[in-house]
Amino acid sequence: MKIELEDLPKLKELFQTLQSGYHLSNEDFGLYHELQDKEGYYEALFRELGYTLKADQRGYYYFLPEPQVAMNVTTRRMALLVFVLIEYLADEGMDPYTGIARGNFSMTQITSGLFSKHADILRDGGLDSPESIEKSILNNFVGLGFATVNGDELRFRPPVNRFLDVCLELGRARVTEENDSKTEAAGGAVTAEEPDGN
Amino acid sequence: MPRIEPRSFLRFIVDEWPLIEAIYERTQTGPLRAQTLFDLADMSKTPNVMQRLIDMGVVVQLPHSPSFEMGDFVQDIIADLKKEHTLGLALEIRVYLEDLNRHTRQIVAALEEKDLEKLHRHAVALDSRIKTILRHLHNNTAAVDEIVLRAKTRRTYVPARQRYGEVLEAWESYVEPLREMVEPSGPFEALFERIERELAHATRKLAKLSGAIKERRIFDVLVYRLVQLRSQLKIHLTLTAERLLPLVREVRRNSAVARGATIALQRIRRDGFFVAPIPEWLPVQRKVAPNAVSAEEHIEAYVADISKFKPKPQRLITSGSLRAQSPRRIDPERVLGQLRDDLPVEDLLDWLIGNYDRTVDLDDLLDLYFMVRDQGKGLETVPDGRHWYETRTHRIEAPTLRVDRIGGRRKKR
Repeated sequence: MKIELEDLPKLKELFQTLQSGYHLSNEDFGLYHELQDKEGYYEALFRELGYTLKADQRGYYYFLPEPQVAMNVTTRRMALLVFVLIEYLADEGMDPYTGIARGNFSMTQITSGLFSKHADILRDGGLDSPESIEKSILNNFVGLGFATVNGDELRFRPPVNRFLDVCLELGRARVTEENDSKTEAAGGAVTAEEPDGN
Repeated sequence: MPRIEPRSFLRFIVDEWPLIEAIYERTQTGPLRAQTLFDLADMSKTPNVMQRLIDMGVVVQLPHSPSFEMGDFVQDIIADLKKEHTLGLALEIRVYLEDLNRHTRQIVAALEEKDLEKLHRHAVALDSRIKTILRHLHNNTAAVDEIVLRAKTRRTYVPARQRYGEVLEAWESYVEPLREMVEPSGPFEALFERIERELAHATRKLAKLSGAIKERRIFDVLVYRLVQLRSQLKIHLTLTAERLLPLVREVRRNSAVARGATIALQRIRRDGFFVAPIPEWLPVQRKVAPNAVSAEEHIEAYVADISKFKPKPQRLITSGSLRAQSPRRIDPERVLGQLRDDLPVEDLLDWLIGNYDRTVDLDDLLDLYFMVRDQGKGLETVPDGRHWYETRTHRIEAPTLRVDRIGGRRKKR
């Protein structure tokens, strides 16, 4: 593959953006479409530089973490906030997956709601007030392309699926374990499989 | 029942729509008592409307009962018009399909007995049963469409499990059992094959029978209808599954996410925020943390690591053990030789620090100091008070010794 650098005018900006851990999604209009249009070129170029560009079909790009990379506090804190938000929404009788993937939240309400119900575990993650939750959302989620904040409105972007996938994986693993034990208990009877192929 | 002229029937439906709709609503909860039907009939101004309802097949009297119910065919038409189909049961379809087998066996028996009347009766019944199943499939497809439409138009703040309750019910009690029934290795594929084989055999036998032209035509139609039923059953199953599956998936995805988050939080509570296992593909930042402690989060991670640190029990280091681990690198004889060369030395410890502080430990340095003081090795030392000394590792106070002789002789200058 022959790559002409003049054909990749946003190379430097793209590289710096992705290298910082930012997740590009379709709301990053210019960069996202540049990457989408010339995905093959960029992917090859970044690979030569030692970076793996990951394109998720749900509409976002990011650099894969290096193997055995240390789990940083930012990721842990972001994961904690998503886990707590899911539990909070489920406790409120809402659909956690649909709510996070497609819904809008009031920043004030959600941060105070999360803190009032899950203060202990949030404190463990260094989030000791609704304000620190808001700060983390702005610094981490917005700063890395996982969310958009407009005034008091918080909306998650497609990359948040990376965290939701962790929960899906854990949740489905539990269902499989339960089904396996049921099958064993039933003497090997076959149980219906989950219809979701995702 | 006498043949009903379609145009009269449709006109009657249009003219008596309020009454027919009321009868339809009431029959959804069970058969109608005669008196209830008479009371409803009062809604109409048409004379003798009760008899017309019976003549048009809108209501039929239940056998051995004074109660009435709405005719199946009319119910289907009203449901189509009102878009109010009720999803039937998979069991219902199963019973109808098994009925096909019963009628086919009777047809084979009638052929053996050469009983044309019985043959005709069961051929017509089989045809009617197939049409009933096709009608049910049509109704159930429409019912599923309506269920999906209702689910999608409900208020979104209602939880999916509740909002899509009807969808899950349809999936679990209708689509899944039906799929198991009609899948290629299921019981009904074999049943269809047997019926087709027996009908083909019957058709060949009929060809040899004189005076069975009408029955032969019916059999030709039956074979066609059976093929139609098989394909309709598969199309119906595909359509209903395609429409329900996305919603079923959404419910299950929400449940799985909620379950997964609970498990993840349990692990964090159990193992701690910094220790709980998180998948290796998750880190959102690619860069490996630098060695220097430079950012807030690294400090936090560092502090967290310290909080997890458990010291391993070790023996305390003693001077002797230190010496054993790091053998003296300086030969005392060589030190004494150098000292002789430098005589007179105003301050022994200061001289030792100046020459050996960088190459030996404080322990060794002091050993050299005391060796010179105690043994002399031909050197003459003079006490000169106490002073503070700075080594590269310690600040110590020691007696000052001046060295100015070797073996009672002053060094020649």
